[in-house]
Amino acid sequence: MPNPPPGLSDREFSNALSQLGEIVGSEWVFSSDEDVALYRDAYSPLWGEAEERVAAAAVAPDSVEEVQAIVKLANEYQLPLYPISTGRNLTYGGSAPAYSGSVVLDLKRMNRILNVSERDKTCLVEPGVSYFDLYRYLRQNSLRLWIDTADPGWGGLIGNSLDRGGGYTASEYRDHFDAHCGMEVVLANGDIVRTGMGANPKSRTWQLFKYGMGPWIDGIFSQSNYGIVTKMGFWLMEEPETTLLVNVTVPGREDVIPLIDTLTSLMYANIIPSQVNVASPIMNGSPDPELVRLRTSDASEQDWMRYAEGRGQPFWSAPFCFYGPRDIVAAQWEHTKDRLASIPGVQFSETGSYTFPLSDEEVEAVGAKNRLGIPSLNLFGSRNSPDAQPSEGHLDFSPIIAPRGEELLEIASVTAKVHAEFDMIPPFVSGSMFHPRGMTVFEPIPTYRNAVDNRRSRELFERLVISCAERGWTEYRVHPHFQHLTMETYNFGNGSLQRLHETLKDAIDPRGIISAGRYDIWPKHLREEDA
Amino acid sequence: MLNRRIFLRSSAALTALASHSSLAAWFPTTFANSTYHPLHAFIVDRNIVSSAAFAIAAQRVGTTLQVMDGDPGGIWMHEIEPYLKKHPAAIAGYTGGPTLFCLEFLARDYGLHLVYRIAHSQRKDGSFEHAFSGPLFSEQLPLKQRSEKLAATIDNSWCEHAVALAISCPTDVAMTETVEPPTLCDAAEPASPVTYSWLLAPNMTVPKTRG
Repeated sequence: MPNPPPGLSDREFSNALSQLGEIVGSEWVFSSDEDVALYRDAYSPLWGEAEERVAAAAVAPDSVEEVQAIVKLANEYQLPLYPISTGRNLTYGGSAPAYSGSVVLDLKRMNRILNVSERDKTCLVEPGVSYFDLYRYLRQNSLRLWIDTADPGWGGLIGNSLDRGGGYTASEYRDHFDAHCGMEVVLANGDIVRTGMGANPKSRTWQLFKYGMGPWIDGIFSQSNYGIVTKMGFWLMEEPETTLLVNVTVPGREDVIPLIDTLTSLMYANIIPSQVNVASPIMNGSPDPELVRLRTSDASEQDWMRYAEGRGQPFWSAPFCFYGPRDIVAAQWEHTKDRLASIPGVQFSETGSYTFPLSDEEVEAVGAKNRLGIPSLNLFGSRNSPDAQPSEGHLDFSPIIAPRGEELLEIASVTAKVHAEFDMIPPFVSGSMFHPRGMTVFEPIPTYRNAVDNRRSRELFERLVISCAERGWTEYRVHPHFQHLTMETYNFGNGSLQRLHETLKDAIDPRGIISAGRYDIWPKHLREEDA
Repeated sequence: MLNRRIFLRSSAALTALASHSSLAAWFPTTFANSTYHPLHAFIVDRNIVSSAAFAIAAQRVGTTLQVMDGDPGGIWMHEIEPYLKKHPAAIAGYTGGPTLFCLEFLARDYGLHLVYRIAHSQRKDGSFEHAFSGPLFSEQLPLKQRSEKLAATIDNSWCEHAVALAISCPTDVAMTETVEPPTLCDAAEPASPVTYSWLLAPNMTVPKTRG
């Protein structure tokens, strides 16, 4: 049996587990070594090392009332809890707690789809509802609504949105936290709070109007440890009449500057509704020594163009799509082409066209499922390629940059040089507009099942965080092992934001029982111990 | 529980296995006092080498075949998960490593664990090497636990033997302490990505975390 949580004796822990069993049923309390092993972070950068964050146990409630009872018990024992939704946030820590020795509060059994309104285009779900679950529900009930799915689609709507993940469809839906409307939260004192219009017990607009009245409190429950979210509403996209998937390529390295400027202008004007990803088929993460040399030196534009021409590929490729009636989609695409035509050598292609609804067979045949709100596990397919490195997982290094071509080029150069310091191949270059105005750069950093390689990966990640923060680029989301380092880069006012976080924590969760350490927000008793 | 249908199928499979001299040493003549879970489906990825041979072998023994096209999301969402919500069952397959990783991870929510996996690596001369791993092959059982390369002289009937193993082996083995990712076969210069045949089955020691 795992060790008890810090601060609890074996006897206290045993008593706590027994009482948890009285709340949820003993079959839903998991405390053997085999049980707890299921909550390890499969992509941990500390696999098998003393610092690996592991759970002491797990408990799986089935209702808000059970969550309240667990919270009350946790307060009595000062038992640290770590709520998870589906626990599949693999590159950002998965189901392992931020504070080692916590009891995972596994909310997967709370997997009810409480309401879907085709008329209002909204839904209300519990934390265990996955994108697969909701998509299946919409299909089975022939509802002409789309979800916006994370990639891979095996995660939960609530978990992904609370960690501020993003998707691929229209702008109102693909910033997953922004697409939520109303939540229900169990606080550390056992109170149940409903935010927005839900604070009116008779509200008809809980999933329609976000703000309610007074301070808009929802934000403090994202990327934090101020409460346990037990319900969340989301806006859903009406199924369009048609979708047109397109791709734009440009030949030159610096063509990315006018490319991104034009694409973002079109996005902000709602001409291009979907997520846009700008990636380089040339700077593609290949271990080609010449490519590595170019990326890690101050190569001239001529050197780059000689290399690119030799490969017969465009330097940049940007897929995106349009949704709506056929004539409107056609007009949007024509206008987009007109606006981009001034880039010499620009090429346009149409990569897919769909009229809805699709049959099950047609759905299976769709290549870019995420752009049509269809959850998939296609992303894992990239591990099948013959060039895939034999590492066991990866972390996502995901800084936000301004959506400008020159910044994408600059960060690609900065991070490539950092990779070279660690004798590692610079990864592919791509910038994605998951969120409305910031561009997310994703760089996978491999993780292993051995300490030596993991140490190198951790040191690389830390150098990337620091190098990018020095240039004004900070992450939007990060693995728990790096949350302290990354939150330190948000240090305006000599750490005033951190002090505010701690003030809120002390007020809302004085015993520090919920997700201690998440995003570097530690409860008072653990801050005092550390000091 | 061992029912007559599974027993008969197992016996036929064992007979087929025993007839192949290189593999006979690996399998006992009986699996007394073992638990079997009904095999819900055999999953094959049509994109990978030898998938057709696996599909034919699975259909030949009457197993429900589910064919995927590189992405297990659809069959998980529409076929496997809905079934597992109602019936404890085993699933087997022949897929790439990432698919096995995904299904193993997802199936844990329904109390399924890895019974075994066999890595198959095709050499440039077309022959295959096979490496066995998983709790089925522990020293405590009459089957061997080690990575071992079967002789390259094994003929192409290895697909049939892998299917036969999936439907005939017991599933009541203790799960390993850690969830190991699919390991790459120690084959020199594989001609294509390593593929895996595998079996996931319910085990009472593995908690189900979805209601």
